[in-house]
Amino acid sequence: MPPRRTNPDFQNGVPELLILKLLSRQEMYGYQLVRALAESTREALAYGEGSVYPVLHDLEARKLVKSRQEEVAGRVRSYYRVTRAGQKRFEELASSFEKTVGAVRLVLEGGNVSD
Amino acid sequence: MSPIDAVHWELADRGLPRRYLLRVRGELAAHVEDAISDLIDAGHPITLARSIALERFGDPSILADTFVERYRRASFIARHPLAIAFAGPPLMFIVLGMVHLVLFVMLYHYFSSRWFQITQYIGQALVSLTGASLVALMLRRRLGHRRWPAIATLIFAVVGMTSDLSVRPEPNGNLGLSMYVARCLWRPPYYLFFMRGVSTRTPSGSISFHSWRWHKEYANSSPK
Repeated sequence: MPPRRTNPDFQNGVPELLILKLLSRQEMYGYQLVRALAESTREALAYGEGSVYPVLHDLEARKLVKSRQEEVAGRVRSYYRVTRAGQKRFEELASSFEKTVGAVRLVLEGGNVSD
Repeated sequence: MSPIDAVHWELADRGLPRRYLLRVRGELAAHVEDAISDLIDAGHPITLARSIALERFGDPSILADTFVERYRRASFIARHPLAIAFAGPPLMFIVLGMVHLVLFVMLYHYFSSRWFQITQYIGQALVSLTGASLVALMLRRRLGHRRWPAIATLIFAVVGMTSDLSVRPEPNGNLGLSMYVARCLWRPPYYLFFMRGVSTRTPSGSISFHSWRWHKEYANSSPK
């Protein structure tokens, strides 16, 4: 079976938003996060599962999430959690996303964005 | 080659540090193992479970591109290439120059005065070579393209040609240390080109210059 060719950043800004939201609920490791994303979006988003890791590392480099390593059943897992800066960033992204969705909805419904 | 190996070697080829490669490899391997275990628990035979897990994992080359892009974008160097290319060489020269001076103060009593002078020249050349290489490597690793490393080594060549590091005995018996960086800033321009550049009194200038030429040729011969 050939590997799925998907845009790894599945949508600009959306991965950060979803990952920060899910990690703000609880600390998770990569695979757990991927499963949580699949369940909470009802598998509506198509993306290569591995593409979550560059996003997590990027968020960590920007100090929006923190990680710790733990060995579980012979596998070293990196657990990620949101920092205070990450929580703030999530709120900014969520607000921006709500505005975008509202604007797109207005256009789709035939209204004027400036209404 | 497994997709994880493919990602690993792609990242290695693109110059990402080994420590980061090991971290990526460990996380991706744990992810695939977790996915396979879940699928087996859900009743899939092992070969099918593995195949599904790898299919879900995504395309290794696209994944490697994302790792590289995100890794570089997150770094201070990637966000400030201009500052690093221009300020990096003199700062690196100063740091390595201090190491050079301390080392030669410690070595002073082990050399005759003639050999001491020669080894100081060699030392300064090594400072330039090491400094130019370090700045260029930092920029190349973090930016991926070749232009900024070439500019940084050119600046290092200028810094090397116009700088002096020396440890010498003073008449009162003490050791005198001096470090001049980018002396051309307060000397007439001809001093740079005739007194130092052409006479190559400072070997570091010519070594840095050749280093720049090498980086420039590499820039011209490499894509992006």
